[in-house]
Amino acid sequence: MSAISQTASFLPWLRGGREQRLRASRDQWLLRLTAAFIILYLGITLVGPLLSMLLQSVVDTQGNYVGLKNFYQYLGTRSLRQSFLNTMAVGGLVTGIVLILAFTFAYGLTRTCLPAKGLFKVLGMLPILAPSMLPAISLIYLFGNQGVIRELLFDNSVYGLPGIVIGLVFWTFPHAVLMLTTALGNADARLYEAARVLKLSPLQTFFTVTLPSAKYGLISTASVIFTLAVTDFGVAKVVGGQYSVLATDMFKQVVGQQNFTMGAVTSVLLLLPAIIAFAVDAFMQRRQVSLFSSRSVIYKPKPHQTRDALFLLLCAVIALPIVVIIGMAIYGSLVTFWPWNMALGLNSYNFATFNPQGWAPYLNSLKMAGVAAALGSLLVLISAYVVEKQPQGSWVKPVIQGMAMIPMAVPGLVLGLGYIFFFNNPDNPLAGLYGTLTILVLSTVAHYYTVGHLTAVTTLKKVPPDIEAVAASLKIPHHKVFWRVTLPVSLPALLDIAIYLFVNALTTTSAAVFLYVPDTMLASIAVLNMEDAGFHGPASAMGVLILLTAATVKLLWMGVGQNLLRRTQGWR
Amino acid sequence: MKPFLSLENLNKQFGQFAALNDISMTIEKGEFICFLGPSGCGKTTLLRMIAGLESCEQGQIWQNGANITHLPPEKRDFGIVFQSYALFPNLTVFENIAIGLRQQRASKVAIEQQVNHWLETIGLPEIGDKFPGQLSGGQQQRVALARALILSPGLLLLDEPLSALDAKVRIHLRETIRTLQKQLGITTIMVTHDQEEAMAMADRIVVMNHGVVEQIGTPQAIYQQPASRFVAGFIGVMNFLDLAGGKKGGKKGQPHIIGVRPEDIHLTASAAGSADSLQIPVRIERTEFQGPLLRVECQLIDCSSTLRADIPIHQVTTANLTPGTETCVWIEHRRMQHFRQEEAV
Repeated sequence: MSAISQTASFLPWLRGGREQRLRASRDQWLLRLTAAFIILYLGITLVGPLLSMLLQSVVDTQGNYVGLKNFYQYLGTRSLRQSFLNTMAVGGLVTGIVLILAFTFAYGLTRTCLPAKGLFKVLGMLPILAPSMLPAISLIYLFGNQGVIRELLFDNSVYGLPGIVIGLVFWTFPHAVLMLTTALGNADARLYEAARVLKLSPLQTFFTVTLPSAKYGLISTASVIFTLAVTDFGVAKVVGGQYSVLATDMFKQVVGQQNFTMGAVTSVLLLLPAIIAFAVDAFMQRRQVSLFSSRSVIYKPKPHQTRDALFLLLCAVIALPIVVIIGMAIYGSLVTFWPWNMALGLNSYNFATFNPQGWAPYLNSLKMAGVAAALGSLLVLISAYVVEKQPQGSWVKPVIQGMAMIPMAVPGLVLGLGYIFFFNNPDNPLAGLYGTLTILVLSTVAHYYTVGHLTAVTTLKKVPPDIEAVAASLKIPHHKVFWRVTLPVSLPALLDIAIYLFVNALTTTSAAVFLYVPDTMLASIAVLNMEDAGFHGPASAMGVLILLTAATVKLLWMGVGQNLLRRTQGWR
Repeated sequence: MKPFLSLENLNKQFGQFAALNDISMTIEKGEFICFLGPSGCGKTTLLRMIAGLESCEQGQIWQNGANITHLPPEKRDFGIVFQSYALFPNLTVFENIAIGLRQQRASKVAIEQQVNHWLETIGLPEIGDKFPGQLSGGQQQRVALARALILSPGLLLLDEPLSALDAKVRIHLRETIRTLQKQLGITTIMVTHDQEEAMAMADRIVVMNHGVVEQIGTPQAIYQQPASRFVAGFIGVMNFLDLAGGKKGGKKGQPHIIGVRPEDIHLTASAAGSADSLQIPVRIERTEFQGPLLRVECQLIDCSSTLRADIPIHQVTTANLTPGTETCVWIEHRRMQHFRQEEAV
């Protein structure tokens, strides 16, 4: 009955509505078909897998519905309960430390006349280009049992909470810096002038002007960092030791014990903190009132000797560990056989000696990242376009937008497990995708969909809203306007999204770790496997290779890409 | 002869909100019509329905003898200009104007000739190679106008085309639009919330409020014989006097309100009665110098209403207008408008 009424309400939309509606033109048909395609695509690559995962968490190993029994059993197990608490501890510590460090760093970049800003910006961004295992491996070189500066830990072991926290602070730092520089960058100079006229002290000004305007940025950042920290798997896998967290538990349950039901239960528990963080952020964003309007004047810091010197010192202290950690990883990858043969060489880069796939994982990664970047960015732009061009009151808009926001709260591991349930099901006609590079592309695009979608929507809002109406009056079809105007105008954002997807596809392990087969092994997975087999040097070497590739692509984009844009975007 | 454009009983609903309620009108070929009203009155929705950009739930739209009610915009015959200019930002001015002709597969020579002709017409012959971002707002809107007119549409729709421009540019461009419209004889509908603009440009004005047409008429008719209290208050300045309490000039029976324009109020020192005018004793509250005239605000002595009177500046010297002075105003009966009481806001 309900299926019938649903179909009935769906049909008018397809047919172009009741008699009174405008007769649908070819443009509208195209828009509808595209919308249907996007909904179907996100349904298959995102919603379907998540639902299968949720379903799996409430059935027993025979597939019978058991309600929340699995969860009781899970929480009844002491070691598993401990993992949950451990994960929250990691999330809390990492969020707190990163917020303080990144706020200081971002403040230095935006509100002082610190020398060598460009260098600091680059250093602050570097960790984002590496897989999360890289800092962990580097920490072992530095503080492990054979570590070069393990004396600094006074007999404490780096394995466990300290290693996880340091590794995650390093790896999540760039995300926080990016968000906080944006939050601190849009300051209204008039507010600072008003504060001066009112004779507020610098400290009072900080608490009455700076902090309130950055408040929502801080909350968003905290939510993102917390989610990243509790859901990351690479750092804890490498340097976690006996300290168990949800992500490593889940890996053990699925890969080690093949206990998919418990894996699904852990997934749900992993999903909870992420969803809560996301909901808090969404709730706070709604209450946000922008203190920065088009009438505001952007704040530009003036030189101030003591302050600038102080921030040079602070930013240098913050940036130093980044340099040390990355430097150590590179050095470690060049040492022939740590710690017995310290001669430098490229021995570790001869991957065939350590891993049956040799260099293939690296090439797989390039291929996968390239395809994900190209297809993903175009898909994201088209779906954002479809959303923007929906008529008022259309249900298509909230549906696509809602689906596009889901990945933000879904950890990669959870998505990956969902893919197993969904695509490894013999009843699924798409089961053939399982074990191919395509499924890795699909999961990567789905996992990183939200940021791309938001970027694309922001860009499309800058395209004059009425150009489709004008085009219709000139009898120009919409798809022609899209290729001739919308796409060229959105080109810079499209390339940004592509680079974002490329870099993330290179560095990600989370979803892929459940989905690869030997033939489709990725570079980041190879890092993990070689590290697991005790080959620190080669693991480090592969990690460095990923970092260098990502950095090269970024640099190319900055050089060639900007040059290309200068030629095609002359109208700006 | 049939009218060029006719709207018959149009309705538009956005959820619970009735955006348009039973709109009917006819527009003759070559007419310049302004839809005028406060924001949210439905004037833009009505324009978009004529363009086919909004669907039409009830009623019919006929253009040039054809029922276009359910046609999509690209099957209709109109050119359109928006407040936001909506120029293609990555195309040059030349390409912006030419794009419609290119779609029609016009020859290169014809395109060149036509576009250059239009660049001349809008008074910007030198700017073909520039991008929209390099032009001023007024220049961009001229280009948008040329782009809208190059395919010689039967109907020109202007959606607040002047609202984003500076005052001087606005006046200049409205003259350009009006001249061009008369030259081409193109039927034109312009949406605006600026009553001065509507008065200066329109052959007929359609005053709208809350999704209803309040009045359709020439600018003069709308100013001098407003059909409702809303129109009277929206167009120009109007004093409203509640003189129902048995005052002279009040129609007997129904309570009602009298509207008087400030320029129709005269000051007089003596309370000399006259059959064709109404006299009211007032106290001067405040005066405001406005160049050609002096605006005098006065308080009616026997009730709380205030009046605004405009006195031509060269008549001012004779009268004593110090605040606090008690004097008399007189209003000719034929200058008074009568409105029903329940229309009071």
